[in-house]
Amino acid sequence: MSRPGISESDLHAYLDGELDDARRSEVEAHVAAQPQDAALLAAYARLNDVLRARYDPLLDEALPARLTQPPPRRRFSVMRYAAVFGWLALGGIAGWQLHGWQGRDERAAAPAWARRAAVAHVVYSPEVRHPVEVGADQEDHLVAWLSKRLGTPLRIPHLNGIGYGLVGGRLLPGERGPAAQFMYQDGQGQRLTLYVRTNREHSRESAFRFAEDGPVRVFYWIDRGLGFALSGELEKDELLRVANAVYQQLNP
Amino acid sequence: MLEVRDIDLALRQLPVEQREVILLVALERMSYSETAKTLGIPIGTVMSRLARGRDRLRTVLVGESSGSSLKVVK
Repeated sequence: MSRPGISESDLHAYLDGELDDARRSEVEAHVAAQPQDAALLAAYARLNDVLRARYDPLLDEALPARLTQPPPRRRFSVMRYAAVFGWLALGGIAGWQLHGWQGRDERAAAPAWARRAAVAHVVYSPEVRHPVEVGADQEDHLVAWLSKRLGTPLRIPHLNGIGYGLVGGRLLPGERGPAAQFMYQDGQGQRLTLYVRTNREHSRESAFRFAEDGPVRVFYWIDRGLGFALSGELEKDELLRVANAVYQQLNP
Repeated sequence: MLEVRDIDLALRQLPVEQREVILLVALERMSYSETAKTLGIPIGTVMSRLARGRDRLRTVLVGESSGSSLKVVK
């Protein structure tokens, strides 16, 4: 029998580990009796697997001591979910466990924010209508606004000399405060994003580090209190050329 | 079978509001309340965007192959 009051929202909340034990049991009883909802839940779980299979490897290889592990609550709920239904792809579970628990050392902080930068690139660079919040035609306002929000004076590198014009920028959520994203575009519409965040961990300045996953490549570095991550779907050499230009402009 | 590469295309077809909620919840493993705080929106909005976004992604990714006629519980 179907339990009254189980909605699709409950299926999402179940999958995302948002339910208390009592409600979770009710959802489990519900889907056990309702094959259509069980299939729906399985489809959403598979969707998570696909998303994670696609984007989680990003930057993992560059620095294995990554900061972003799922909290234990979620690991538990997914394992429990797998045990109950047995449909979750084996690969998903293996991937989940591989994240493991690693020390929160200084090095580990870099991939978490650089990964955020890469995800933000994937999210916003395809945008046709609203790629940025403030366009390059209001550059003074853009700089003043983002500097104020990040609490530190920012400068926008100009890359026209190497073929990339400024499209504009936007404010993004960072781990513990706002971050900025500047977008550039070349004559063919190829887009690059420069993600800037304040270096709250006071990490030491670093050389360029590189990570890639499929077409998305990222150079990231820390310079004078700010973390920079340059993302694009470019050849590594070309991206490095741009990263060098950004660095040199900010360090004249 | 879902193609991992198809997810890029499918994500691009989502409105930004739904895309960012899905990425924060599924990839960043943020709780609904963290996501709401991060984006400055109510939790109910997080949940509705998540549900709409996942529903659309599911349709895009498996719609053609499975001829999906699943009942969506409201």
